[in-house]
Amino acid sequence: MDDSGIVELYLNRDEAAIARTSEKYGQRLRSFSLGIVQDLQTAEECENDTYMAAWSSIPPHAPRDYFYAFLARITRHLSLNRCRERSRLKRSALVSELSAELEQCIPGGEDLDRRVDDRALAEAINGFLGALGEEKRNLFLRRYWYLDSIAAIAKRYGFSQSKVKTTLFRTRNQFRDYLKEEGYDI
Amino acid sequence: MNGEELLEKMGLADPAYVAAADRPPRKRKHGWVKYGIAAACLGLVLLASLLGMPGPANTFAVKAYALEEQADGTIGLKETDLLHQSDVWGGYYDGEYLYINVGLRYEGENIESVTFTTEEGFFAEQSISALSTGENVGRMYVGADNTLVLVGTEFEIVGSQVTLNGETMTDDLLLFWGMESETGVHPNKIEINAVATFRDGRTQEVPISLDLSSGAGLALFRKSPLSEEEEQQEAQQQGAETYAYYQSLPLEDCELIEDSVEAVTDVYEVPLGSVVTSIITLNEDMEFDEDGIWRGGPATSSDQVYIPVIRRNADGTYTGMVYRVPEELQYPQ
Repeated sequence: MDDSGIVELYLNRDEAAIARTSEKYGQRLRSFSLGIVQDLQTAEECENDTYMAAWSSIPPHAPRDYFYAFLARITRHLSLNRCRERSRLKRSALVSELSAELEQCIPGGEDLDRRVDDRALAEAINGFLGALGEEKRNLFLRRYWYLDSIAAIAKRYGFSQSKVKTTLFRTRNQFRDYLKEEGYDI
Repeated sequence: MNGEELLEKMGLADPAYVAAADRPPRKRKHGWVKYGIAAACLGLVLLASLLGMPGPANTFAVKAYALEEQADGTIGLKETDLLHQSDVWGGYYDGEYLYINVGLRYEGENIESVTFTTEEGFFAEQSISALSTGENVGRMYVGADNTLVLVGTEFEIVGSQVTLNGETMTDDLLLFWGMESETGVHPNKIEINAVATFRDGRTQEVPISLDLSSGAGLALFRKSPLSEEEEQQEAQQQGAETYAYYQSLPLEDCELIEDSVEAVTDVYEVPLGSVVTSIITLNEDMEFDEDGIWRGGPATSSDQVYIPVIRRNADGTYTGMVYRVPEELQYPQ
């Protein structure tokens, strides 16, 4: 069944929606979560919670065009929350590593004049992503949205790891400069 | 906001971008080397052959373009005769990838699209409108006509196949052929296949052979090595990244060196094995986190990374200790 059909099931409050979602995307969502939480049972819980969250949010949402991205965003949010709740003692090394990398994107200084809410931050993130070339944008999102390892990104795009690291490094600097120039104080 | 929160907020990215990043990348040929050529003399031979019998109204020809500076200082396209000119061509080598300006475009009637494919290497695009006309932007002029073939050094790799049509073949597009190269050495010949698809469904194929074996006019523009200041900045940035990483690494994921634990009253001599590698003096400027932990910068010994820690205890005393970072958690160099 195509994504649009599955979304229609949700909109019609047909419980088969969850089964169809699980059949089509269950493994990918579980795997995505597992990469973040590093624990199969927790990943399975995140996967199931994703279905419940999708059930609750469709409608009003009707993500016919980007259904997997919609689901994966929920899974990502739930998985990162699990990491946070699990206390810092067992926080995933990957999350720590990615957090440290993104820390470099946060501009400092006192000349920034506005603190941003989620809407403004979304505008900032998407403004920046829109200004990037497709390749850089995809690399940036693979790393900081899909939380892929450097090795996985290099393999996916046929780049050397060094090329990936260099590109990400430059893109992070661009992101920091962009936030600063646009006056976002995050 | 800290890095972890920003990581969470990256979830606000537009789902269209997120979905695009999840699509399988366009296939790229293995064995690309990372080198950029700046100018290459190309003896370029274009061999065209018709496959099938295109309709009488269907015509197709491959063209190639260089650049030219307009009167107002902006950069535009200039048609170049690839068939009869064994002139100099240009390219750029950035130390990793080699890019040669081939400027491929097409002309003809009733063409729906043209797909260029290369078995070796890849295509890369340059946006002409983004080419800066500033004084510090590198340019390359080649040949007797002083043809401008290269401006700037920013390219976007698009894969081993690129399809041009009425929408994508804009005046803003300049097409390069490229390859990964460790030494800057390029093949003697580049084979590109161009297939035009006409609106009536017929196709016409044109193999293109770029002969790079001739020594005439081969030019190579290489990326300048980093200046001392730039190298220093890069090293500082790398150091800051490494420091930030080890400052945020959960100590619970590291191995406590039992022998290193000792009460500290004034000075903690950081032991790595039997050697004292540094001395930490308690002072008022030390910032302890909410768990009473202060970390020093990472220390490296025999490929092992250690994090020295001072813990402020509930009773106001201090304890020094050293954690060993597991190999799999070491910051990638």
